[in-house]
Amino acid sequence: MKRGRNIEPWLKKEWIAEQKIYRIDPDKKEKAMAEIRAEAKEQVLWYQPGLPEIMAGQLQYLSAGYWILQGALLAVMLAVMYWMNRNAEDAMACMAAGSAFAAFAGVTGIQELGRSMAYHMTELEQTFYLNIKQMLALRMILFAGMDLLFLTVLAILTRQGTDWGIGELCIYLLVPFAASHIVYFSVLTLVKNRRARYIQTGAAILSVVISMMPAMVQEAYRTASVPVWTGILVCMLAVLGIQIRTLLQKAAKGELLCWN
Amino acid sequence: MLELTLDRLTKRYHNKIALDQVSTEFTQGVYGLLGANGAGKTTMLRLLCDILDPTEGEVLCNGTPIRRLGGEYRRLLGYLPQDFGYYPDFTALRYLRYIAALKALPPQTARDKVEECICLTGLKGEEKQKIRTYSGGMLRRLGVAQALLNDPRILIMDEPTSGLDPRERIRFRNIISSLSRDRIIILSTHIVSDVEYIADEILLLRAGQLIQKGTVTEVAEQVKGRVWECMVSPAEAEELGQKYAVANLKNLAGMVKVRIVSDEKPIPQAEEAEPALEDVYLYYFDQAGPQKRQTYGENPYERKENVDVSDRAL
Repeated sequence: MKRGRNIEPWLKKEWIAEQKIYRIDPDKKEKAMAEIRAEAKEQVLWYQPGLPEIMAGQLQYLSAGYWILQGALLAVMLAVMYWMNRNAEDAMACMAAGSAFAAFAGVTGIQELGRSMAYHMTELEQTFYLNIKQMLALRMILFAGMDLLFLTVLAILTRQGTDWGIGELCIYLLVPFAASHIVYFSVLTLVKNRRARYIQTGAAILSVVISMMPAMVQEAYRTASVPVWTGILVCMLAVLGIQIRTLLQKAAKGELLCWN
Repeated sequence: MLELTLDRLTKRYHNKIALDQVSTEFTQGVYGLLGANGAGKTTMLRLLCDILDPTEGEVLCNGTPIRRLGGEYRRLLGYLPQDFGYYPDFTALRYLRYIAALKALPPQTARDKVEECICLTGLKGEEKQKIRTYSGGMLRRLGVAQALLNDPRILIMDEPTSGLDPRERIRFRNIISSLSRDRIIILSTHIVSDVEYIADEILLLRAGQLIQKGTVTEVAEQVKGRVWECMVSPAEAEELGQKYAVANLKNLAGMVKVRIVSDEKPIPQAEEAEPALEDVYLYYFDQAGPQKRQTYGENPYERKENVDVSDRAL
Protein backbone atom coordinates (compact mmCIF):
# COMPACT_ATOMS: atom_id res chain seq x y z
CA MET A 1 0.00 0.00 0.00
CA LYS A 2 1.21 3.41 -0.75
CA ARG A 3 0.42 4.53 2.74
CA GLY A 4 2.93 1.97 4.16
CA ARG A 5 5.58 3.21 1.81
CA ASN A 6 4.93 6.79 2.82
CA ILE A 7 5.08 6.01 6.54
CA GLU A 8 8.43 4.21 6.39
CA PRO A 9 10.72 7.16 5.74
CA TRP A 10 8.77 9.15 8.36
CA LEU A 11 9.13 6.37 10.91
CA LYS A 12 12.79 6.06 10.11
CA LYS A 13 13.37 9.76 10.71
CA GLU A 14 11.47 9.67 13.99
CA TRP A 15 13.30 6.61 15.03
CA ILE A 16 16.67 8.12 14.28
CA ALA A 17 15.78 11.29 16.14
CA GLU A 18 14.69 9.33 19.16
CA GLN A 19 17.88 7.32 19.31
CA LYS A 20 20.35 8.61 21.84
CA ILE A 21 23.71 9.06 20.40
CA TYR A 22 26.05 6.89 22.42
CA ARG A 23 29.37 8.52 22.95
CA ILE A 24 32.29 6.31 23.95
CA ASP A 25 33.85 7.39 27.23
CA PRO A 26 37.61 7.06 26.63
CA ASP A 27 38.42 6.65 30.35
CA LYS A 28 35.91 3.88 30.82
CA LYS A 29 37.12 2.25 27.66
CA GLU A 30 40.74 2.36 28.79
CA LYS A 31 39.82 0.96 32.19
CA ALA A 32 37.84 -1.89 30.62
CA MET A 33 40.69 -2.65 28.21
CA ALA A 34 43.21 -2.67 31.07
CA GLU A 35 41.06 -5.18 32.96
CA ILE A 36 40.80 -7.36 29.89
CA ARG A 37 44.56 -7.21 29.37
CA ALA A 38 45.20 -8.15 33.00
CA GLU A 39 42.82 -11.10 32.74
CA ALA A 40 44.40 -12.22 29.49
CA LYS A 41 47.85 -12.01 31.05
CA GLU A 42 46.73 -14.21 33.92
CA GLN A 43 45.63 -16.90 31.51
CA VAL A 44 48.37 -19.44 31.17
CA LEU A 45 48.55 -21.05 27.78
CA TRP A 46 50.48 -24.25 27.99
CA TYR A 47 52.18 -25.73 25.01
CA GLN A 48 51.23 -29.39 24.69
CA PRO A 49 53.62 -31.30 22.47
CA GLY A 50 52.01 -34.14 20.54
CA LEU A 51 53.26 -37.71 20.68
CA PRO A 52 55.05 -37.52 17.30
CA GLU A 53 56.93 -34.44 18.47
CA ILE A 54 57.86 -36.10 21.76
CA MET A 55 59.06 -39.22 19.93
CA ALA A 56 61.05 -37.13 17.48
CA GLY A 57 62.66 -35.34 20.42
CA GLN A 58 63.60 -38.63 22.05
CA LEU A 59 65.12 -39.88 18.81
CA GLN A 60 67.00 -36.64 18.28
CA TYR A 61 68.79 -36.88 21.59
CA LEU A 62 69.75 -40.54 21.60
CA SER A 63 73.48 -40.88 21.95
CA ALA A 64 75.69 -41.20 18.90
CA GLY A 65 77.00 -44.39 20.43
CA TYR A 66 73.58 -45.98 20.18
CA TRP A 67 73.25 -45.27 16.47
CA ILE A 68 76.80 -46.37 15.72
CA LEU A 69 76.41 -49.61 17.64
CA GLN A 70 73.03 -50.33 16.14
CA GLY A 71 74.35 -49.64 12.66
CA ALA A 72 77.42 -51.78 13.25
CA LEU A 73 75.28 -54.63 14.58
CA LEU A 74 73.02 -54.42 11.54
CA ALA A 75 75.98 -54.38 9.17
CA VAL A 76 77.63 -57.35 10.86
CA MET A 77 74.35 -59.25 10.91
CA LEU A 78 73.76 -58.64 7.20
CA ALA A 79 77.29 -59.67 6.34
CA VAL A 80 77.32 -62.81 8.51
CA MET A 81 73.87 -64.05 7.49
CA TYR A 82 74.61 -63.38 3.82
CA TRP A 83 77.82 -65.37 4.07
CA MET A 84 76.11 -68.19 5.98
CA ASN A 85 73.30 -68.43 3.46
CA ARG A 86 75.83 -68.82 0.70
CA ASN A 87 78.35 -71.07 2.40
CA ALA A 88 76.82 -72.86 5.36
CA GLU A 89 75.63 -76.37 4.57
CA ASP A 90 73.76 -76.91 7.78
CA ALA A 91 70.54 -75.01 8.57
CA MET A 92 71.34 -75.34 12.25
CA ALA A 93 74.40 -73.16 11.81
CA CYS A 94 72.17 -70.45 10.31
CA MET A 95 69.78 -70.91 13.18
CA ALA A 96 72.57 -70.60 15.75
CA ALA A 97 73.81 -67.42 14.13
CA GLY A 98 70.29 -66.00 13.91
CA SER A 99 69.64 -66.82 17.58
CA ALA A 100 72.90 -65.15 18.59
CA PHE A 101 71.97 -61.96 16.77
CA ALA A 102 68.45 -62.05 18.20
CA ALA A 103 69.91 -62.36 21.71
CA PHE A 104 72.31 -59.49 21.13
CA ALA A 105 69.77 -57.25 19.42
CA GLY A 106 68.43 -55.53 22.52
CA VAL A 107 71.67 -54.68 24.33
CA THR A 108 72.13 -51.27 22.67
CA GLY A 109 68.60 -50.27 23.63
CA ILE A 110 69.10 -51.40 27.23
CA GLN A 111 72.35 -49.49 27.50
CA GLU A 112 70.61 -46.40 26.21
CA LEU A 113 67.77 -47.00 28.66
CA GLY A 114 70.25 -47.14 31.51
CA ARG A 115 72.10 -44.05 30.35
CA SER A 116 70.14 -41.74 32.65
CA MET A 117 71.12 -43.85 35.62
CA ALA A 118 74.72 -44.12 34.50
CA TYR A 119 75.11 -40.33 34.37
CA HIS A 120 73.06 -39.38 37.44
CA MET A 121 70.37 -37.80 35.29
CA THR A 122 67.34 -39.68 36.64
CA GLU A 123 66.74 -37.42 39.62
CA LEU A 124 66.71 -34.34 37.40
CA GLU A 125 64.73 -35.95 34.59
CA GLN A 126 62.02 -36.97 37.04
CA THR A 127 61.20 -33.29 37.58
CA PHE A 128 60.46 -32.48 33.93
CA TYR A 129 57.12 -32.36 32.20
CA LEU A 130 57.78 -35.89 31.00
CA ASN A 131 58.91 -37.75 34.07
CA ILE A 132 61.18 -40.78 34.18
CA LYS A 133 58.35 -43.28 34.04
CA GLN A 134 56.97 -41.68 30.87
CA MET A 135 60.42 -41.33 29.31
CA LEU A 136 61.30 -44.94 30.04
CA ALA A 137 58.01 -46.07 28.52
CA LEU A 138 58.55 -43.94 25.39
CA ARG A 139 62.11 -45.11 24.96
CA MET A 140 61.12 -48.74 25.42
CA ILE A 141 58.50 -48.33 22.69
CA LEU A 142 61.10 -46.72 20.39
CA PHE A 143 63.71 -49.38 21.03
CA ALA A 144 61.15 -52.17 20.73
CA GLY A 145 60.21 -50.79 17.32
CA MET A 146 63.82 -50.71 16.21
CA ASP A 147 64.46 -54.18 17.58
CA LEU A 148 61.42 -55.52 15.78
CA LEU A 149 62.69 -54.05 12.51
CA PHE A 150 66.03 -55.67 13.20
CA LEU A 151 64.35 -59.00 13.96
CA THR A 152 62.26 -58.76 10.80
CA VAL A 153 65.38 -58.38 8.65
CA LEU A 154 67.04 -61.16 10.63
CA ALA A 155 64.07 -63.48 10.15
CA ILE A 156 64.02 -62.86 6.39
CA LEU A 157 67.75 -63.53 6.08
CA THR A 158 67.67 -66.62 8.32
CA ARG A 159 64.77 -68.06 6.36
CA GLN A 160 66.83 -67.96 3.21
CA GLY A 161 69.25 -70.43 4.72
CA THR A 162 66.67 -72.73 6.33
CA ASP A 163 63.49 -74.60 5.49
CA TRP A 164 61.26 -73.39 8.28
CA GLY A 165 58.15 -71.32 7.78
CA ILE A 166 58.29 -67.66 8.68
CA GLY A 167 55.95 -68.07 11.67
CA GLU A 168 57.98 -70.93 13.10
CA LEU A 169 61.20 -69.01 12.52
CA CYS A 170 59.83 -65.94 14.31
CA ILE A 171 59.11 -68.06 17.39
CA TYR A 172 62.63 -69.57 17.32
CA LEU A 173 64.14 -66.08 17.13
CA LEU A 174 61.79 -64.39 19.61
CA VAL A 175 62.65 -66.87 22.38
CA PRO A 176 66.36 -65.90 22.62
CA PHE A 177 65.33 -62.27 22.12
CA ALA A 178 62.89 -62.40 25.06
CA ALA A 179 65.28 -64.44 27.22
CA SER A 180 68.12 -61.99 26.71
CA HIS A 181 65.82 -59.09 27.59
CA ILE A 182 64.87 -60.78 30.85
CA VAL A 183 68.57 -60.89 31.67
CA TYR A 184 69.08 -57.26 30.57
CA PHE A 185 66.21 -55.94 32.66
CA SER A 186 67.49 -57.90 35.65
CA VAL A 187 70.86 -56.16 35.48
CA LEU A 188 69.57 -52.75 34.38
CA THR A 189 69.35 -51.30 37.87
CA LEU A 190 72.00 -53.48 39.47
CA VAL A 191 74.68 -50.85 39.21
CA LYS A 192 73.82 -47.19 38.78
CA ASN A 193 77.02 -45.82 37.32
CA ARG A 194 79.07 -46.08 34.14
CA ARG A 195 80.26 -49.58 35.04
CA ALA A 196 76.71 -50.67 34.26
CA ARG A 197 77.62 -50.80 30.55
CA TYR A 198 80.22 -53.46 31.18
CA ILE A 199 77.80 -55.54 33.18
CA GLN A 200 75.15 -55.20 30.47
CA THR A 201 77.66 -56.14 27.76
CA GLY A 202 78.74 -59.14 29.82
CA ALA A 203 75.10 -60.14 30.18
CA ALA A 204 74.69 -59.79 26.41
CA ILE A 205 77.64 -62.07 25.69
CA LEU A 206 76.32 -64.64 28.15
CA SER A 207 72.88 -64.47 26.51
CA VAL A 208 74.44 -64.97 23.07
CA VAL A 209 76.31 -68.08 24.21
CA ILE A 210 73.22 -69.58 25.83
CA SER A 211 71.04 -68.75 22.81
CA MET A 212 73.26 -70.81 20.53
CA MET A 213 72.96 -73.95 22.66
CA PRO A 214 69.59 -75.22 21.34
CA ALA A 215 71.15 -75.30 17.88
CA MET A 216 73.37 -78.13 19.11
CA VAL A 217 70.28 -80.30 19.56
CA GLN A 218 68.72 -81.24 16.20
CA GLU A 219 65.40 -82.21 17.82
CA ALA A 220 64.97 -78.78 19.34
CA TYR A 221 63.91 -77.34 16.01
CA ARG A 222 61.51 -80.04 14.87
CA THR A 223 57.97 -78.94 14.05
CA ALA A 224 56.71 -81.02 16.96
CA SER A 225 58.69 -78.76 19.29
CA VAL A 226 56.92 -75.58 18.15
CA PRO A 227 54.24 -75.76 20.89
CA VAL A 228 57.00 -76.06 23.49
CA TRP A 229 58.79 -73.05 22.05
CA THR A 230 55.52 -71.16 21.97
CA GLY A 231 54.84 -72.00 25.60
CA ILE A 232 58.33 -70.89 26.60
CA LEU A 233 57.90 -67.67 24.63
CA VAL A 234 54.58 -66.88 26.33
CA CYS A 235 56.11 -67.47 29.79
CA MET A 236 59.09 -65.30 28.93
CA LEU A 237 56.89 -62.51 27.65
CA ALA A 238 54.88 -62.68 30.88
CA VAL A 239 58.08 -62.42 32.95
CA LEU A 240 59.24 -59.54 30.78
CA GLY A 241 55.92 -57.78 31.26
CA ILE A 242 56.24 -58.13 35.04
CA GLN A 243 59.80 -56.80 34.94
CA ILE A 244 58.81 -53.77 32.91
CA ARG A 245 55.85 -53.07 35.18
CA THR A 246 58.07 -53.33 38.27
CA LEU A 247 60.65 -51.02 36.72
CA LEU A 248 58.04 -48.39 35.93
CA GLN A 249 56.53 -48.68 39.41
CA LYS A 250 59.94 -48.27 40.99
CA ALA A 251 60.53 -45.22 38.81
CA ALA A 252 57.24 -43.70 39.97
CA LYS A 253 58.05 -44.29 43.65
CA GLY A 254 61.40 -42.60 43.41
CA GLU A 255 63.79 -44.83 45.27
CA LEU A 256 65.16 -46.08 41.96
CA LEU A 257 66.13 -42.56 41.00
CA CYS A 258 68.03 -41.27 43.96
CA TRP A 259 71.56 -42.10 44.79
CA ASN A 260 71.51 -41.34 48.48
CA MET B 1 49.60 -16.16 44.10
CA LEU B 2 51.26 -19.54 44.19
CA GLU B 3 51.35 -21.34 47.51
CA LEU B 4 53.09 -24.57 48.39
CA THR B 5 51.90 -26.33 51.51
CA LEU B 6 53.57 -29.19 53.32
CA ASP B 7 50.98 -31.01 55.36
CA ARG B 8 52.46 -33.33 58.01
CA LEU B 9 54.99 -34.54 55.52
CA THR B 10 56.81 -37.70 56.58
CA LYS B 11 59.28 -39.91 54.80
CA ARG B 12 60.43 -43.16 56.28
CA TYR B 13 63.14 -45.46 54.91
CA HIS B 14 62.89 -48.86 56.60
CA ASN B 15 63.84 -47.99 60.20
CA LYS B 16 64.94 -44.44 59.64
CA ILE B 17 62.66 -41.39 59.68
CA ALA B 18 64.18 -38.95 57.20
CA LEU B 19 61.43 -36.36 57.52
CA ASP B 20 59.08 -36.23 60.44
CA GLN B 21 55.64 -34.58 60.32
CA VAL B 22 56.83 -31.36 58.70
CA SER B 23 54.12 -28.77 58.11
CA THR B 24 54.77 -25.37 56.61
CA GLU B 25 53.82 -23.05 53.76
CA PHE B 26 55.82 -21.38 51.04
CA THR B 27 54.68 -18.31 49.19
CA GLN B 28 56.53 -15.85 47.02
CA GLY B 29 60.09 -15.18 48.23
CA VAL B 30 63.43 -16.80 48.97
CA TYR B 31 63.58 -19.52 51.62
CA GLY B 32 66.80 -20.85 53.05
CA LEU B 33 66.67 -24.41 54.31
CA LEU B 34 69.46 -24.91 56.82
CA GLY B 35 70.54 -28.09 58.47
CA ALA B 36 73.48 -30.37 59.06
CA ASN B 37 74.22 -33.37 56.86
CA GLY B 38 71.49 -35.95 57.28
CA ALA B 39 68.96 -33.44 58.62
CA GLY B 40 66.46 -34.25 55.90
CA LYS B 41 66.92 -31.22 53.63
CA THR B 42 67.45 -33.22 50.44
CA THR B 43 64.57 -35.53 51.29
CA MET B 44 62.28 -32.56 51.79
CA LEU B 45 63.31 -31.02 48.48
CA ARG B 46 62.82 -34.31 46.66
CA LEU B 47 59.35 -34.58 48.12
CA LEU B 48 58.62 -31.02 46.98
CA CYS B 49 59.82 -31.92 43.49
CA ASP B 50 57.65 -35.04 43.31
CA ILE B 51 60.73 -37.24 43.02
CA LEU B 52 59.88 -39.26 46.12
CA ASP B 53 56.57 -40.53 47.43
CA PRO B 54 55.84 -39.41 50.99
CA THR B 55 55.15 -42.08 53.61
CA GLU B 56 52.56 -39.84 55.25
CA GLY B 57 51.17 -36.39 54.55
CA GLU B 58 51.33 -34.55 51.27
CA VAL B 59 52.58 -31.58 49.34
CA LEU B 60 49.89 -29.24 48.06
CA CYS B 61 50.16 -26.62 45.37
CA ASN B 62 47.37 -24.07 45.79
CA GLY B 63 45.43 -26.68 47.73
CA THR B 64 45.82 -29.52 45.20
CA PRO B 65 48.12 -32.49 45.89
CA ILE B 66 51.06 -32.32 43.53
CA ARG B 67 50.73 -36.03 42.78
CA ARG B 68 47.39 -35.26 41.21
CA LEU B 69 48.74 -32.31 39.22
CA GLY B 70 51.55 -34.39 37.75
CA GLY B 71 53.09 -32.78 34.66
CA GLU B 72 51.24 -29.50 35.21
CA TYR B 73 53.02 -29.06 38.55
CA ARG B 74 56.36 -30.06 37.10
CA ARG B 75 55.94 -27.35 34.45
CA LEU B 76 56.13 -24.79 37.25
CA LEU B 77 59.25 -26.36 38.66
CA GLY B 78 62.93 -25.70 38.21
CA TYR B 79 65.24 -28.02 40.13
CA LEU B 80 68.95 -28.18 40.68
CA PRO B 81 69.85 -31.38 42.53
CA GLN B 82 72.82 -31.73 44.81
CA ASP B 83 74.20 -34.46 42.59
CA PHE B 84 73.78 -32.71 39.27
CA GLY B 85 73.87 -35.12 36.37
CA TYR B 86 74.79 -34.43 32.77
CA TYR B 87 75.80 -36.28 29.64
CA PRO B 88 79.51 -35.53 29.24
CA ASP B 89 79.54 -35.94 25.48
CA PHE B 90 76.89 -33.25 25.08
CA THR B 91 77.85 -29.63 24.59
CA ALA B 92 76.16 -27.17 26.95
CA LEU B 93 74.01 -25.96 24.09
CA ARG B 94 72.81 -29.44 23.15
CA TYR B 95 72.26 -30.29 26.81
CA LEU B 96 70.09 -27.22 27.39
CA ARG B 97 68.12 -27.89 24.21
CA TYR B 98 67.59 -31.47 25.39
CA ILE B 99 66.33 -30.24 28.75
CA ALA B 100 64.12 -27.67 27.01
CA ALA B 101 62.56 -30.45 24.93
CA LEU B 102 61.88 -32.52 28.04
CA LYS B 103 60.34 -29.49 29.71
CA ALA B 104 57.92 -29.24 26.76
CA LEU B 105 58.98 -25.78 25.68
CA PRO B 106 57.81 -24.75 22.21
CA PRO B 107 60.74 -24.90 19.76
CA GLN B 108 61.14 -21.15 19.22
CA THR B 109 60.73 -20.41 22.95
CA ALA B 110 63.28 -23.13 23.68
CA ARG B 111 65.85 -21.51 21.41
CA ASP B 112 65.27 -18.08 22.95
CA LYS B 113 65.31 -19.33 26.53
CA VAL B 114 68.47 -21.37 25.99
CA GLU B 115 70.23 -18.28 24.67
CA GLU B 116 68.89 -16.18 27.53
CA CYS B 117 69.93 -18.65 30.24
CA ILE B 118 73.39 -19.05 28.74
CA CYS B 119 73.88 -15.29 28.93
CA LEU B 120 72.36 -15.01 32.40
CA THR B 121 74.69 -17.63 33.86
CA GLY B 122 77.80 -16.32 32.14
CA LEU B 123 78.31 -19.31 29.86
CA LYS B 124 78.32 -17.29 26.66
CA GLY B 125 81.30 -18.33 24.60
CA GLU B 126 81.58 -21.71 26.34
CA GLU B 127 78.27 -23.18 25.23
CA LYS B 128 79.72 -25.18 22.34
CA GLN B 129 82.31 -26.92 24.48
CA LYS B 130 81.67 -30.43 25.70
CA ILE B 131 80.41 -30.48 29.27
CA ARG B 132 83.19 -32.87 30.29
CA THR B 133 85.66 -29.98 29.85
CA TYR B 134 83.78 -27.73 32.29
CA SER B 135 85.13 -26.70 35.69
CA GLY B 136 83.07 -27.16 38.86
CA GLY B 137 81.86 -23.58 38.77
CA MET B 138 80.82 -23.81 35.14
CA LEU B 139 78.94 -27.03 35.84
CA ARG B 140 76.99 -25.39 38.60
CA ARG B 141 76.17 -22.47 36.34
CA LEU B 142 74.97 -24.95 33.74
CA GLY B 143 72.83 -26.51 36.43
CA VAL B 144 71.32 -23.14 37.27
CA ALA B 145 70.75 -22.46 33.56
CA GLN B 146 68.79 -25.69 33.05
CA ALA B 147 66.70 -24.97 36.14
CA LEU B 148 65.69 -21.58 34.73
CA LEU B 149 64.84 -22.70 31.19
CA ASN B 150 61.10 -23.00 31.73
CA ASP B 151 60.92 -19.72 33.70
CA PRO B 152 59.83 -21.68 36.78
CA ARG B 153 57.46 -20.28 39.36
CA ILE B 154 59.01 -22.66 41.90
CA LEU B 155 62.79 -22.86 41.96
CA ILE B 156 64.36 -25.47 44.18
CA MET B 157 68.10 -25.80 44.58
CA ASP B 158 69.92 -28.33 46.70
CA GLU B 159 73.34 -27.18 47.87
CA PRO B 160 73.69 -24.94 44.83
CA THR B 161 77.01 -23.41 45.79
CA SER B 162 78.89 -26.49 46.94
CA GLY B 163 82.33 -26.50 45.45
CA LEU B 164 82.15 -22.91 44.27
CA ASP B 165 84.73 -20.26 45.04
CA PRO B 166 83.65 -16.97 46.69
CA ARG B 167 83.37 -15.14 43.39
CA GLU B 168 81.05 -17.82 41.98
CA ARG B 169 79.05 -17.77 45.19
CA ILE B 170 78.50 -14.05 44.91
CA ARG B 171 77.52 -14.39 41.26
CA PHE B 172 75.05 -17.11 42.21
CA ARG B 173 73.54 -14.98 45.01
CA ASN B 174 73.08 -12.11 42.61
CA ILE B 175 71.33 -14.32 40.09
CA ILE B 176 68.96 -15.64 42.74
CA SER B 177 68.24 -12.16 44.07
CA SER B 178 67.37 -10.96 40.60
CA LEU B 179 64.95 -13.87 40.18
CA SER B 180 63.21 -13.73 43.53
CA ARG B 181 60.30 -11.57 42.45
CA ASP B 182 57.04 -13.53 41.79
CA ARG B 183 58.67 -16.85 42.54
CA ILE B 184 59.05 -19.34 45.33
CA ILE B 185 62.77 -20.03 45.67
CA ILE B 186 63.92 -22.68 48.13
CA LEU B 187 67.64 -23.09 48.70
CA SER B 188 69.02 -25.87 50.79
CA THR B 189 72.49 -25.44 52.19
CA HIS B 190 74.67 -25.92 55.18
CA ILE B 191 76.67 -22.83 54.26
CA VAL B 192 75.01 -20.06 56.20
CA SER B 193 76.38 -17.14 54.22
CA ASP B 194 74.71 -18.44 51.05
CA VAL B 195 71.30 -17.56 52.42
CA GLU B 196 71.95 -15.04 55.14
CA TYR B 197 71.83 -12.05 52.82
CA ILE B 198 69.17 -13.08 50.35
CA ALA B 199 66.68 -15.28 52.20
CA ASP B 200 63.37 -13.81 53.25
CA GLU B 201 62.82 -16.71 55.61
CA ILE B 202 65.02 -19.37 57.15
CA LEU B 203 63.91 -22.89 57.98
CA LEU B 204 66.01 -24.98 60.32
CA LEU B 205 65.79 -28.71 59.89
CA ARG B 206 67.26 -31.20 62.33
CA ALA B 207 66.80 -34.95 62.43
CA GLY B 208 63.90 -34.65 60.01
CA GLN B 209 62.04 -32.10 62.09
CA LEU B 210 61.41 -28.45 61.38
CA ILE B 211 62.67 -26.74 64.52
CA GLN B 212 62.61 -23.10 63.52
CA LYS B 213 61.08 -20.92 60.86
CA GLY B 214 61.28 -17.16 60.50
CA THR B 215 63.20 -14.24 59.10
CA VAL B 216 66.93 -14.09 59.75
CA THR B 217 66.28 -11.57 62.53
CA GLU B 218 63.55 -13.67 64.15
CA VAL B 219 65.64 -16.81 64.02
CA ALA B 220 68.73 -15.05 65.34
CA GLU B 221 66.62 -13.58 68.14
CA GLN B 222 66.11 -17.13 69.46
CA VAL B 223 69.74 -17.29 70.49
CA LYS B 224 69.94 -13.78 71.90
CA GLY B 225 71.73 -13.94 75.22
CA ARG B 226 73.51 -17.13 74.20
CA VAL B 227 76.36 -15.71 72.15
CA TRP B 228 79.47 -14.54 74.00
CA GLU B 229 82.78 -12.99 73.13
CA CYS B 230 85.90 -12.84 75.22
CA MET B 231 89.64 -12.30 74.99
CA VAL B 232 91.61 -15.17 76.55
CA SER B 233 95.02 -16.75 76.42
CA PRO B 234 95.61 -19.49 73.86
CA ALA B 235 95.57 -22.15 76.61
CA GLU B 236 92.26 -20.87 77.93
CA ALA B 237 90.91 -20.74 74.39
CA GLU B 238 91.74 -24.38 73.94
CA GLU B 239 90.04 -25.22 77.21
CA LEU B 240 86.93 -23.30 76.21
CA GLY B 241 86.93 -25.04 72.85
CA GLN B 242 86.67 -28.38 74.58
CA LYS B 243 83.80 -27.33 76.78
CA TYR B 244 81.71 -25.05 74.55
CA ALA B 245 80.69 -24.53 70.92
CA VAL B 246 83.17 -22.05 69.51
CA ALA B 247 81.85 -19.98 66.60
CA ASN B 248 85.11 -18.16 65.89
CA LEU B 249 88.70 -17.93 67.06
CA LYS B 250 90.93 -15.02 66.17
CA ASN B 251 94.52 -14.46 67.25
CA LEU B 252 95.18 -10.88 68.33
CA ALA B 253 98.58 -9.88 69.63
CA GLY B 254 99.21 -13.00 71.66
CA MET B 255 95.65 -13.30 72.93
CA VAL B 256 92.72 -15.05 71.34
CA LYS B 257 89.32 -13.52 70.70
CA VAL B 258 86.79 -16.29 71.15
CA ARG B 259 83.15 -16.25 70.13
CA ILE B 260 81.15 -18.88 71.98
CA VAL B 261 77.58 -20.11 71.68
CA SER B 262 76.29 -21.32 75.01
CA ASP B 263 73.23 -21.09 77.25
CA GLU B 264 75.43 -20.04 80.15
CA LYS B 265 78.15 -17.42 80.34
CA PRO B 266 81.36 -19.39 79.73
CA ILE B 267 83.68 -17.20 81.82
CA PRO B 268 82.96 -14.14 83.97
CA GLN B 269 84.69 -11.70 81.60
CA ALA B 270 82.73 -12.86 78.56
CA GLU B 271 80.47 -10.24 76.99
CA GLU B 272 77.17 -10.86 75.27
CA ALA B 273 77.42 -10.49 71.50
CA GLU B 274 74.82 -9.83 68.83
CA PRO B 275 73.82 -13.19 67.39
CA ALA B 276 74.25 -13.96 63.73
CA LEU B 277 72.77 -16.74 61.66
CA GLU B 278 75.94 -18.75 61.94
CA ASP B 279 75.58 -18.69 65.72
CA VAL B 280 72.04 -20.03 65.35
CA TYR B 281 73.36 -22.84 63.16
CA LEU B 282 75.99 -23.72 65.69
CA TYR B 283 73.56 -23.54 68.58
CA TYR B 284 71.13 -25.97 67.00
CA PHE B 285 73.45 -28.22 65.05
CA ASP B 286 76.60 -28.53 67.06
CA GLN B 287 76.87 -32.27 67.66
CA ALA B 288 79.61 -32.33 70.29
CA GLY B 289 79.50 -34.58 73.36
CA PRO B 290 76.72 -35.26 75.85
CA GLN B 291 77.75 -32.35 78.08
CA LYS B 292 76.89 -29.92 75.35
CA ARG B 293 73.66 -31.69 74.45
CA GLN B 294 72.60 -31.31 78.06
CA THR B 295 73.38 -27.62 77.83
CA TYR B 296 70.87 -27.42 75.01
CA GLY B 297 68.21 -29.57 76.53
CA GLU B 298 66.48 -32.83 75.60
CA ASN B 299 67.58 -35.45 73.14
CA PRO B 300 66.98 -33.80 69.78
CA TYR B 301 66.38 -37.18 68.06
CA GLU B 302 63.40 -38.06 70.16
CA ARG B 303 60.26 -37.87 68.06
CA LYS B 304 57.81 -35.23 69.26
CA GLU B 305 54.19 -34.78 68.30
CA ASN B 306 52.73 -31.38 67.41
CA VAL B 307 55.97 -29.46 67.78
CA ASP B 308 55.43 -25.72 67.75
CA VAL B 309 57.98 -24.61 65.24
CA SER B 310 58.13 -21.11 66.64
CA ASP B 311 59.75 -22.44 69.82
CA ARG B 312 63.15 -23.87 70.15
CA ALA B 313 62.41 -27.60 70.07
CA LEU B 314 65.00 -28.87 72.48
